[in-house]
Amino acid sequence: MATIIEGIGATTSSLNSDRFQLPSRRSFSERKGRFFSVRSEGKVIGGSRGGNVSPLVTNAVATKGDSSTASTSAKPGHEVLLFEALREGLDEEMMRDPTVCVMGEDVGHYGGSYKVTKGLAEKYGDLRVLDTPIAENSFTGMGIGAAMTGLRPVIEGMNMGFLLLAFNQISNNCGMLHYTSGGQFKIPVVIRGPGGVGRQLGAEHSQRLESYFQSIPGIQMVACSTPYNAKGLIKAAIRSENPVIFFEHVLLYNLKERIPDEEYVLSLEEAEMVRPGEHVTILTYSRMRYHVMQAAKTLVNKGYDPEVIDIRSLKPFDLYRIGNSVRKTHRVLIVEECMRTGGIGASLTAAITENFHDYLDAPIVCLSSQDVPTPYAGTLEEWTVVQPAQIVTAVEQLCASCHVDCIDYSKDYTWPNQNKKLLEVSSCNTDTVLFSTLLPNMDSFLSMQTDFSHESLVDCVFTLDMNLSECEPKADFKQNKLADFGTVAKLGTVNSKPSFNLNNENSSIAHACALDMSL
Amino acid sequence: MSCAFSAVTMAQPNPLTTNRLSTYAIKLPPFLGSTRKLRPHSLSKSLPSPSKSLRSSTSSVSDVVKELKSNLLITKEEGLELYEDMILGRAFEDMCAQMYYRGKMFGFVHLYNGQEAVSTGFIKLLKKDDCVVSTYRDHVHALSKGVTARAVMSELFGKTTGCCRGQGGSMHMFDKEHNVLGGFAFIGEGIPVATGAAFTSLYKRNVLKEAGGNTVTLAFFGDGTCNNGQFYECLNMAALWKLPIVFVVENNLWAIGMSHLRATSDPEIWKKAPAFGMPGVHVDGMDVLKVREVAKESILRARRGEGPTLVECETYRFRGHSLADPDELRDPAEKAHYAKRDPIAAMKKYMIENKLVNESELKAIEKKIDEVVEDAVEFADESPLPPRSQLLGNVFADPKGFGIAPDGTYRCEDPKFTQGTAHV
Repeated sequence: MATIIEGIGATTSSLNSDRFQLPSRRSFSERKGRFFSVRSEGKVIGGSRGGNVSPLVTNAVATKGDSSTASTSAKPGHEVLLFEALREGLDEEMMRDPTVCVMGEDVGHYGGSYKVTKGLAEKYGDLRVLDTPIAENSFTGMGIGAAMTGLRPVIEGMNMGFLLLAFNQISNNCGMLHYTSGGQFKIPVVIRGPGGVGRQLGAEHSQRLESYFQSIPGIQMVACSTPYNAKGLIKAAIRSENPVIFFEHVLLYNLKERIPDEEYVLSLEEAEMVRPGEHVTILTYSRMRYHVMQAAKTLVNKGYDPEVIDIRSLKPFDLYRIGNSVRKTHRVLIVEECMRTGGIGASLTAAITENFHDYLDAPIVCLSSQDVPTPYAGTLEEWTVVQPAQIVTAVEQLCASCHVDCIDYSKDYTWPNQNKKLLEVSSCNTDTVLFSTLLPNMDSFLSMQTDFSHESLVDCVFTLDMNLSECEPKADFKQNKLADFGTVAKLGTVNSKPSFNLNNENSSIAHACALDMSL
Repeated sequence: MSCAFSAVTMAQPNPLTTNRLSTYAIKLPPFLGSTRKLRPHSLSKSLPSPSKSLRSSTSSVSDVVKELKSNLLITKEEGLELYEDMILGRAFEDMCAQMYYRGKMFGFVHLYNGQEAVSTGFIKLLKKDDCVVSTYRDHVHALSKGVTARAVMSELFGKTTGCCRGQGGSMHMFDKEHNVLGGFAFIGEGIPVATGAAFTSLYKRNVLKEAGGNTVTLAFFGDGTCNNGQFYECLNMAALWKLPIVFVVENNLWAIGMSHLRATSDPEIWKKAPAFGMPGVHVDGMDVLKVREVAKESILRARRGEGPTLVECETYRFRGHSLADPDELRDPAEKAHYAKRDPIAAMKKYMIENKLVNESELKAIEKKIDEVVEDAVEFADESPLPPRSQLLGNVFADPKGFGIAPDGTYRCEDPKFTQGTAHV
């Protein structure tokens, strides 16, 4: 139980007084949403970040070429639209490997209903870019049979929704044949197509099939969101020996971005960090990435620092990058376009809760589309999908639940110089003070009454390291609050005296207390 | 309007309550389904009406056979090979039934007794890299194609030495070496896969410019499948692109308990082919030599690149749909009729009458096959069951598909992964 409190060592000297502000004793309703935290590694993050914020992509359908995103390569490349990036990826793979072929409705002479395969049929011939009759189940099965016998087909569904007709082949054959054949036949197909809610396309053309396909064993699912990751992921998907379902979005085809000239392949299983942050982790994919980034712009102005991760790999989830983020921010918001019931967000919530429950300060919030067949009317359609304003509200609520509405101890404590663990004191209302830890190996979450005489404190084991014993409370605090703190500190302490003094050159970090609590 | 439905539409005889013989009799009032009488069971020859299609012709093979009556259709070696294959199929399936009732295999087991002529007649003409796609009634197709009896029996017992390592079972026989592409549980599901294999053959010839003739794919399926959408979609695509495929319909008249006549508006399946511009042939599937003649022609057609053929083989399964089927619905008279046309007995009679072999040679073959089957059972019995470590092994061809674990490594790199403890 006696945990050595990690040191922040020399980092206290890096505390920059003008980088953060002390939240004063205010009621919850008066708060403007600023809060700060001090980390064990010593980085102090205030309400506004320094210069390392990536520029935000604010539009869902960006057309200006200079809106750089976090995923743009540093080298000058060439500008493409997303469908052109996909075409480049397909073209390069078809040149590289003669067994790669495309099949689908209108992919050949017509060039693809979203122009993804334009020009490929003239280049590679009608057999390599095969125009199929309208028989999704059968040509998907045909692609699977071709894959079993040595080809690498890319099967296009003109709209993802049409792949519902191919569900038999995708579920039974695509996912399972490698297994039921005992590993003898591999199925290196890529099944791709645009899905998602467009502009008033009606219910049947606005479907999101991620949720239906995600429990099929044996397949991988990826969703692209920028020209850079579209090209990288389609190349990776074609080169993969596993069957991959590649989700594109109807509204993202005209995104423009500068992508590298040289060849690159991304990893199918990794997530992408869009915008690093500290306060909340927002997990998203496909079109919702842009809604999130739009909301992020608003949030930054309001003083929040969201970390945005584009999960990209819908099956399997990249729990490493997601986990690192959760361990850092302790709050998770999932924004997706999938339906609420049984969607990707639901699975992700379960996965995060299973693996990182102890690092969460609040329940995971999942914003998904409503469980409604997408209406035709524009206003109704807008309301079925998550909009940036909803994301902003959700982040505010999520962060507010753990915000500091604290008792101002600045006058009461001074901060010691070294070796302590830091806590963020936060509250959800004026009656409760919550102590929560930002540190990975302290996983307790304790709620106390402001009078500090709450019974629950008696059960806590507190360990203070030796340096803390140098801390001494100031006199007046001792009278009311510190007496209880003193009580608290007394319980279970090993090496330290009951009184403590928090020293710091800048006394405004006062309310951060060094306690290692384990319940 | 109390009742808009008249009693006439309810006149369909209920097979469970009415007399079985009367159900089968042709003279019943028209029931929901075909109003034609396709198969008065006295008719053993094919229906020779020519098609009206401009580009293709349907033909009856009985005429072909009549011409060749003076010349024998097979040599002694060929005859022995065919006989041995049919005996292997029959003996193996009988042994399967025994093993099932002894509790060595479980689940759904569909036996092929009575239909051996179709499998032997077609598959024995194939080369090793030609592909075969079948349904759940696939043991004998796998055996005819060359998969060892040991591998098939182990697979049925669920042992790790089976052709699919015990992961497929009775309904999913796959073998890469012999190009058996399965084994599918849903009917019609294998036909697109067969179409894909044929597409690969075309692709290899035209795009990859590989030398040699087309590899041919055979797709076997039943009469029930011929009412399924995938069947028609694939007939269309195969004819459109002239894929080297032969669609073989094993019309045994029954889809579990559904008579073909009750399920199909036009029960003559071979007639559906000309609608797509390919020849449709009807052949007596109880006679291996007739089947072989038709098969030769259709496989040659495919190999030359002239496109697909639909061959309807009139055949019959002596046992029920599966070992769980009590088989009470079928008319005993019908069963007796077809039992008299047992393909093995017919072949035996043909070879002996034409002085190709003598009795002792055939007995030797039967004895040899008995030993093969016994050996297969022994091998399967002694084979190990799949260990726990096999559980997650073949889910993905590239196990990176299991994803990245919270600690940053791929899950498949976790040493406990093979114990099946990794989360997916």
